[in-house]
Amino acid sequence: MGIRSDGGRGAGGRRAGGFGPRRALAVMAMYARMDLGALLRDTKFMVIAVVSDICSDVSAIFGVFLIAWRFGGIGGLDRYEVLFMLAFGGIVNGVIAVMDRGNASFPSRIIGRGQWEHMFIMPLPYWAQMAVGFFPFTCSGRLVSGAALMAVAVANLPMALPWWWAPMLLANVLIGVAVVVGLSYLVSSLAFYAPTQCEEIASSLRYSLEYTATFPLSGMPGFMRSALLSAFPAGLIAWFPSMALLGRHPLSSGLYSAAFAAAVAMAASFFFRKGFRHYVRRGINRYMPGGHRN
Amino acid sequence: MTFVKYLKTAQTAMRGLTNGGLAYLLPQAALSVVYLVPLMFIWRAVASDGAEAGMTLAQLLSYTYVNALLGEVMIVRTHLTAWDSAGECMALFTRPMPVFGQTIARTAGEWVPSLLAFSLPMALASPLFSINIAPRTLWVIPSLALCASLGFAIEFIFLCVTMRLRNVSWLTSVIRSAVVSFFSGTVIPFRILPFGLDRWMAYQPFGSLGGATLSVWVGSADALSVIPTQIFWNVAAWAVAAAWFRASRDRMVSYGG
Repeated sequence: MGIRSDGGRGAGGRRAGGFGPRRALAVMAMYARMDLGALLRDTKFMVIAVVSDICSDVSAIFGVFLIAWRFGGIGGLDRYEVLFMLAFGGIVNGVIAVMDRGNASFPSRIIGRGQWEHMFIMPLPYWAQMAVGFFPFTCSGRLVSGAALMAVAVANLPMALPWWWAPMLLANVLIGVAVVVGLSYLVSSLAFYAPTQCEEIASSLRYSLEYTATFPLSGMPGFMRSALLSAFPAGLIAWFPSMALLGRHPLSSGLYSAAFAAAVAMAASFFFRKGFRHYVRRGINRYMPGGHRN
Repeated sequence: MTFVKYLKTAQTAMRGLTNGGLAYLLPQAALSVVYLVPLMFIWRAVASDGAEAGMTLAQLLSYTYVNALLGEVMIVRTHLTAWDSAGECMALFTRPMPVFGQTIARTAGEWVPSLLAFSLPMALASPLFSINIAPRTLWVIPSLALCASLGFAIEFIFLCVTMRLRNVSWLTSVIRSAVVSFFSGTVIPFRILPFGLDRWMAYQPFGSLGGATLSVWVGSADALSVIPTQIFWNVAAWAVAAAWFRASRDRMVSYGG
């Protein structure tokens, strides 16, 4: 391939120098303008996209909520506590969707499709290209539906919300986002070694996490709960933070989520860089001389 | 001879999934277990709360377990919309076999590896989890055949939607998955739905997919009321699929992968 690894800064990383908050906001504003342009240019297509997101999200949580409604709750959580948990998971996934520039949260797709090289010529560091996307018009369906469901749940909760509740909600959402995206990057490291076979490994992980995160772990046996909070941490996306926000767990339990997110981020960073170094030496075999993907 | 052609097509599709070795099937098997286990614990949690579900715990566990074993048949998923996007649908027209037949043969062929590598071992292991997967009646056989047949018809209808809307293969696929997964009743049985949904959900077209067959399988619905509904929706859906496909196929636009 003949491309030298530059420590992840990207071609523009050397030229652009620092990438501060002002530059990040400018890039996000640019993405938002392009997103609005896409909406206005092909409104039919984009409305279908938003509706499909909402259908997908509501369908994903509807089943568990109907079970909760039918039985007056699940495992000690009442109906609206279950709805709160489901809405929280929807918001976490919605935030990722709004920030997801061209599969940035599914990096194995970018790598597996031979599109990582496209980033070499961009005047931004790699991390900035992946992290700074913003699509508030066409990708906000899940976030909006999650927020609406949370408003319904909160209005029906039998508890008064203290002053610290809103910042705690925000912090827990960000931790949930970090866990999901960190795990996605961790498994996507494999795509550097086997691009064809691992192209969809991030989506397999993400979709199974999203599905499993809709189940309240209350009422499940301890070994199952432990597994879903560690080995396959779907419980950290919605159930565990919801328990803290609903006052069922002590606030300090959030430290576990934060520590887990940090550990995942460090592991993902290490293995992703290692995979990238392998990739720039070996290249990719997805394309034939004619340009078609094999 | 005709049957042999379809058999060979199915074999080719099956080998396409196993060329890299059976190890490549393991991740999908692991995901199937991930999807199965939490729901089974939910049923146990609901039962331990003493709630009246309209189905016994044994029926709920069997329902969920059998759905995991036969999920690909209960809700048929072909590659049609992906093929439309990738330009492979056009290749279907270049072969000396009907498009419908090729699609069904290829899809059925792809069921075989997971049925052998996942479903069979899990079926044999079911007594270890105290789950009885034996069907309550032999009417489950025609019901399963009608369920799969309707699934293929619905797949062709969604292909026609994709052709008509153009360039929305992924979005059609997302909407289809969302609608079918809930309205088929494979994850949450209709019998336990609130708001009176249980009374009419079985009569909408997706209700004759996996949920209908699973209800017959575990004995929570009468086969003699389920199967006529499945026959009705098969006739209606295949009539729509055949006519609409004939009218839509000339509009197909593919860019290739």
